[in-house]
Amino acid sequence: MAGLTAASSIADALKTQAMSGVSEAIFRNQEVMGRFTRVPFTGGANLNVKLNYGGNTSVATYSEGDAAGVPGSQSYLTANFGAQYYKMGIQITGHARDQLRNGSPGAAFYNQIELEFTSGMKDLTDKISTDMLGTGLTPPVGIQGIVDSSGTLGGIAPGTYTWWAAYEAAGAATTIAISDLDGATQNSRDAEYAADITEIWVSWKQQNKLKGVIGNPGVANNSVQIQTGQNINLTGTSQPITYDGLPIIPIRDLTNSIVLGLSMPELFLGVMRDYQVDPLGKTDDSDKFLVTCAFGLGTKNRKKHWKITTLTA
Amino acid sequence: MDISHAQNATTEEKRRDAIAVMVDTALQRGDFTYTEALLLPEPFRSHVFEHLDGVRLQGGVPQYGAAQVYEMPPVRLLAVNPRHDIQYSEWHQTRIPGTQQQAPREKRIVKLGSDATVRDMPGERLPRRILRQHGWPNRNVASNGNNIGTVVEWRWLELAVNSPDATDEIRELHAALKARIDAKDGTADTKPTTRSKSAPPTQAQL
Repeated sequence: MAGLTAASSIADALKTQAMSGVSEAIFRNQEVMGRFTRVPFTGGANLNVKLNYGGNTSVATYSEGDAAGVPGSQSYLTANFGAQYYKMGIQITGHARDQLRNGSPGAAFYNQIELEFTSGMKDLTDKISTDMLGTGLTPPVGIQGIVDSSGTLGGIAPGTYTWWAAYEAAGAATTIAISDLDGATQNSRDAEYAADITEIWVSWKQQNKLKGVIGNPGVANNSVQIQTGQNINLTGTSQPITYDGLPIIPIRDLTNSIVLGLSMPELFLGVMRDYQVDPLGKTDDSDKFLVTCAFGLGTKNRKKHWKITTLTA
Repeated sequence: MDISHAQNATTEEKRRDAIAVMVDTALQRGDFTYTEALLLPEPFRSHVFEHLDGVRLQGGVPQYGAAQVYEMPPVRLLAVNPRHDIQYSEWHQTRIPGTQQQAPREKRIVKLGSDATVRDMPGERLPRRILRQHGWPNRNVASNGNNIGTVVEWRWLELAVNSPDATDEIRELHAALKARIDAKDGTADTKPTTRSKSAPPTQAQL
């Protein structure tokens, strides 16, 4: 074919084309760590929480003339929460730095060198966040391990110390029901647990299940309502719903089989080492960096939270 | 169990010692029960379990295995309602078939039937855990009646029904459970079974 055609003739002259920037085709969870109050470690391997679990044993009624009796005292125990160290290595060779013109936009569609750091930090945060949503009882401690009726946490076993356990119940069925939330709430709010739940965490699927419960005519759901914001969109994916005034928050990466009632002021994110980037010594033409951090999830009071389990549908 | 000595102890150490003597005496007499221990107020309840679990405190931190750990005999538990299962939750993690990948850990319900003799292994202390969560009458007392216990420790009920202050409720419950035990004549199935997803327990069973 004669002449200049796009089909065959311009390939040699055309620069490789791409839209600027990079689209992330990978999900990195950045939504968990920021939900917890950060508390710095104050020295030593553990962040200690002092627990007052027994009151003054001399409290009693008395009659006229009775002896004063033996004074009592409070009882205390200490929970130890450690941290988990995380690391990430980054290497940029001299050849890569030269050919990318050190990230110059004239040479590359995106600053690959800078992205190695920013995206790598996201990877690190994703790993930490996933661990924090997990079942760990020792570092890395996960929220499912904290909110549980069994298992030694912070060095304290609920088998020995029966007050160191969250309220936990299996769902009445494999599908979440309002009665499950009612049961967990009434039990955890009363004197034994005395919990002040501030948030309910669910998977996206469970959140939509709860929306479905709201939408079913004839279902008793007085305690659940869609927040009356400017717009209510039952088919939307991010409209907040509440249970008894508590926000039901969908959390990505949280297992579908549970619903968590959390007292957020009782949870903390211990910061042993915040994100730290250190250049490593030269051993060749590359620039190498080590990114490290150390965090640990913990609770000041385990029984201030609740969990509904075995939800599979 | 009489905690008056512990209540009158002048130091925390002496209080723990008094509880240890109280527990050992009850064990020797054969009338120690978890139900009675769970009905004790704090800190005495924790002191009982500290003694049985061999826990010593060091700077307020529990040190497990620092003292003698008691091997307790199996505990016979009965569901108050014969149609209900005694059950507890445990973590499960399975490998995804055909791969080397582990499925995420999840809670499952283990059913023990309505009459189970449960081993009391140190570190696990399953009877204690079941009674703490579902025991009658300690659940009723701890929750001020908001929660009704569904599981009875048979040894405690036998002792309670023979005590001078046994109530009609205790006698009736004992008679009903005794009849069930006699009818089953020791054929109680105590083999744990994993909960079927198609047959979930009701809230009342938990």
